[in-house]
Amino acid sequence: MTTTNGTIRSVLAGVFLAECVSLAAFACDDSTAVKESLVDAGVPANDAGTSGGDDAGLKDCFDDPKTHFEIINACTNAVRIEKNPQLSKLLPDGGLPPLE
Amino acid sequence: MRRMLSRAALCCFIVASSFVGQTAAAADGDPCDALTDEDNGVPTLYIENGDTQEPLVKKIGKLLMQSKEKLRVVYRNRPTCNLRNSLFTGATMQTVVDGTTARPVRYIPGRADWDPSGPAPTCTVPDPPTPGEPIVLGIGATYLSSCPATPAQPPDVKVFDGPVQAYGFVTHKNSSQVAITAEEGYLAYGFTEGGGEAAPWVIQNLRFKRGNTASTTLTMAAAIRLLPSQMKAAPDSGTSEALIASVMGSPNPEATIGILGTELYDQRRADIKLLAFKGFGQRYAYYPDSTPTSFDKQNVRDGHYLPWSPTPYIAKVDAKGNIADPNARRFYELVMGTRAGDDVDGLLQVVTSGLVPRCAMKVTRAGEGADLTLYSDPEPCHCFFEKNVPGGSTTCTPCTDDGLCGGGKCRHGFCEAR
Repeated sequence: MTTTNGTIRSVLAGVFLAECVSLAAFACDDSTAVKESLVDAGVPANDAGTSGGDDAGLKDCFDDPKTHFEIINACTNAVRIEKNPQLSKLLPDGGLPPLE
Repeated sequence: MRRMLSRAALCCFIVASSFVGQTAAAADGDPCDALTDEDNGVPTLYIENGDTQEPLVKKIGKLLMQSKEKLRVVYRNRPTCNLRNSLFTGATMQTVVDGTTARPVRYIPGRADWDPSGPAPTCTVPDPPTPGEPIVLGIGATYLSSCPATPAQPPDVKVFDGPVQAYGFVTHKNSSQVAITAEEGYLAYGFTEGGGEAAPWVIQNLRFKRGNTASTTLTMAAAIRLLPSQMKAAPDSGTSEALIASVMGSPNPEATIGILGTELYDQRRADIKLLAFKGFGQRYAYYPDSTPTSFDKQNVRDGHYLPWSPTPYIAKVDAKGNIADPNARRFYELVMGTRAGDDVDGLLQVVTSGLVPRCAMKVTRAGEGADLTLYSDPEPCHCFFEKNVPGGSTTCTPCTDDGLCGGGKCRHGFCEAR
């Protein structure tokens, strides 16, 4: 029983520590930090978004791609990674700045 | 007495060892047309190829030397635009140095136990102006339209499409980075030092690239909308192997980035890390394969992974437009899987080398970095490809003829839709 209690205490302490570390990291985050996350794949094909949708529930991929834009954003079961870095050198419309 | 015997045995061992060493070393450095310990009566095919294509050349080369109809491959790694010039000008296999990078000539040995995953032995060719043997086949690794227009293509030389080659951004194994966007690539490589503010790749000497005529540079530059000459990086690594060594030896893993053919990366996954790539207009970044640990090139085949180009095969043609040299034609047909009755399975070597045969592609493009369009090969090999990549599998029906395929076609041992 003592051992069990000790184990539970250890687990809780570990969870608490992990939360602290993650909160500290969030607090210290700045806008230039790279945020990368693996997006789970493999949502059934009858889901409009296949691999998920945005907050408004709109699909974020194409089931029957035809054009270049649709092909590169087609629904897939592959691992996909979300990365939207804040790049201060890009033009206000997101375009590429001229080279110096 | 026992001491004398031991000494004699030791002497014998030393003498025998040095003899074996000399014998093994003798063939490494011989003239290519007079190899010690090799059968010089075997027909020889002289090839210049991009270094990304070397694993395929070695694999097929070994099988050709073990074939009933033996053929020896003698080859040299060169940047794509340089080998284009060789084939367009009818160059011979002489000693060359590109910039400061020597380009050794290698040959496929006849030994059945030679391992093509290791280095091939070298041989020597004449120094200019003494002509060498004609270079009969060129194997590039990107669109030749990316190269300077001169020298012009002679009318009797033709460029044939080969398998597809993917490229990628690589970094140090200990980097925490997982992906790179095309915009980050542009800002990192397009500006001096950290001028593009694309953290963490802000140290110019830790951004590695190949020469401006190498396919790796041409394709990766196009993927981030730069010209090769606009990439601000450490001095030219010379070879892909040298680039890998630079990435591995970097003192600052996080700031390190380089460019590499993915089939070379596939052989060095334990040493370096490939970054997923998010192209212009893409919502997510993707690996060439469906997962970081698979080898299926799913995202290259279906268009989710953008930095790739075809491998052009360059050779003189006959009046009918076919490759004139029978040995070069054999090599090309083996690579394309169109040669019947040969005991070498070239298409299998393509698949296991990390390349994608055209018959397994679902998209195509018209030029370097151009938009993708859907592609449907008239003789598809999707099932064969998916079954034979490392760790691969398929749900396709195995077959020996069309009868089992329910209206489909039996191709390379599996039922395809057509």
